[in-house]
Amino acid sequence: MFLDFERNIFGFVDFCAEGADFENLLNYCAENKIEILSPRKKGYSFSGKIKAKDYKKLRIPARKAGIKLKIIKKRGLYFYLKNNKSKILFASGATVIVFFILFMNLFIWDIRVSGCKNIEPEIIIEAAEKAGLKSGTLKQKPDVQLIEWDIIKNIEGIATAEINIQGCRATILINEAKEPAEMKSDDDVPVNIVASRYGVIRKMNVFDGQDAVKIGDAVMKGDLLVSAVYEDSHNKLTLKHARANVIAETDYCITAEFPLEQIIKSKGNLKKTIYEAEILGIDFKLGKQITTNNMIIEKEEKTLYFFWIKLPVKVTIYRCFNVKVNNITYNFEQARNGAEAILKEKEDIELENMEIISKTVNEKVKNNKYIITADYIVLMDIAKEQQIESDIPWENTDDMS
Amino acid sequence: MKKKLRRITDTFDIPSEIAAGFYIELFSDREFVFSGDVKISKLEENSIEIIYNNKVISISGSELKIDYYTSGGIKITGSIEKIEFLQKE
Repeated sequence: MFLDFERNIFGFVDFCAEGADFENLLNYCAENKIEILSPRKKGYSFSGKIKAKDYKKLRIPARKAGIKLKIIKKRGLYFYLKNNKSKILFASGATVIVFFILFMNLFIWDIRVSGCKNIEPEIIIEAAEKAGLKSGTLKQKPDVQLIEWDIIKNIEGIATAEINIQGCRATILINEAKEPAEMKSDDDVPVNIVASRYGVIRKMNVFDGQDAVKIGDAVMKGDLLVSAVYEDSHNKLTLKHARANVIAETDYCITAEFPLEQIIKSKGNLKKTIYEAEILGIDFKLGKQITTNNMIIEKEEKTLYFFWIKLPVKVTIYRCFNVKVNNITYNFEQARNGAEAILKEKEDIELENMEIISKTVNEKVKNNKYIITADYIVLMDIAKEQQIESDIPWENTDDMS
Repeated sequence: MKKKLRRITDTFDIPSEIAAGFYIELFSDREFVFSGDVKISKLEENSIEIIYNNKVISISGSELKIDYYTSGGIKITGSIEKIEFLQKE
């Protein structure tokens, strides 16, 4: 049986021979341990089977014996593979692909996040990666509950996290926590209204408490404007949470500076492009690596797709540019325009809730900078709450308001 | 000499194949197995002659074929009708 197996694997040939002296050929084979199977003779024709590798050994003795050899059929796996090379290559390729797909199906390749409103999905993915769920992770490996807990614990504002694994995709369903209702805890204490800066009072709207100043009064920073101590018509004193808008005329100053000389670093010529590939979760650095100090680096990530199927291959391209240093010198006019633009920006931000009555602008050059100083007379709310402690009974008017 | 050898083997009950150097097995009239250093002298459809130590063994019958043939022996199958021990000419 073993011999049959060996013959079928390595191949054998059916041959026929024509001549007279077959006996000598058979004896030669027996002496030289060349095995001829099923030797048969019919008239002047002789046939048999022989191992493919032994067939060549027959030629010389056959020639000497005046016998002409001819192959009838080649049999066995060796010849089958040789004759059907293209079919076998196709079949083996298909088999390899099937096994490859089955193998790849054991891993998670795509991680998606849904349900995010205020939290960036990248933050969730990063937290999941830290917890052990990343592209290329074996499906059986991650402890889903543990990862869910890690995500909830490490990222603020997440109420629940749920991981569903379907095929090669893990979907993280996020339920963000709702912000708690704003608590007016500051209403629970009695407060005075004091001046946050000096000025002359031009308008007052007192909603709660006892006003301590009147329109036209000049006040300094910290002066009492509305008192929390309220005296009713029966001369009874109670404490309140004072509330008021106190609009005062005061001054305000904004300074804007613009340098006359600037060093601007910009992107120069492309010096080197470095490629990195992440295949099946393993990083491969392609090409020669260089030191990237003093270079501007642009990073571009590309995920490869086979039609619409996301492949577990990610290519990262680093483009390294030389740094181009530009020394720019501005004339006074340019510097002035620059300083004015900065001043305008600051005005829009800082004076947003103020009314400008007047504006005086001073310009000067100092320390190689163009400086614009703008002094404003503005109307602004100077009311500031200040908590007090007293033995007088405290009346919380929140319920009434 | 041969007679002496036969007497010794008979006396000591030594298996005859050791003394003779070969043995033949015959399974019904279908299989003939010869174990020993043998050569084929004639190969025909109806008869096969093998030579052992200057002795010729002729196997006659029909549909005779060699199952295997090595330096250690030969197996002939088919319908065996006659086995003859002949003296080499």
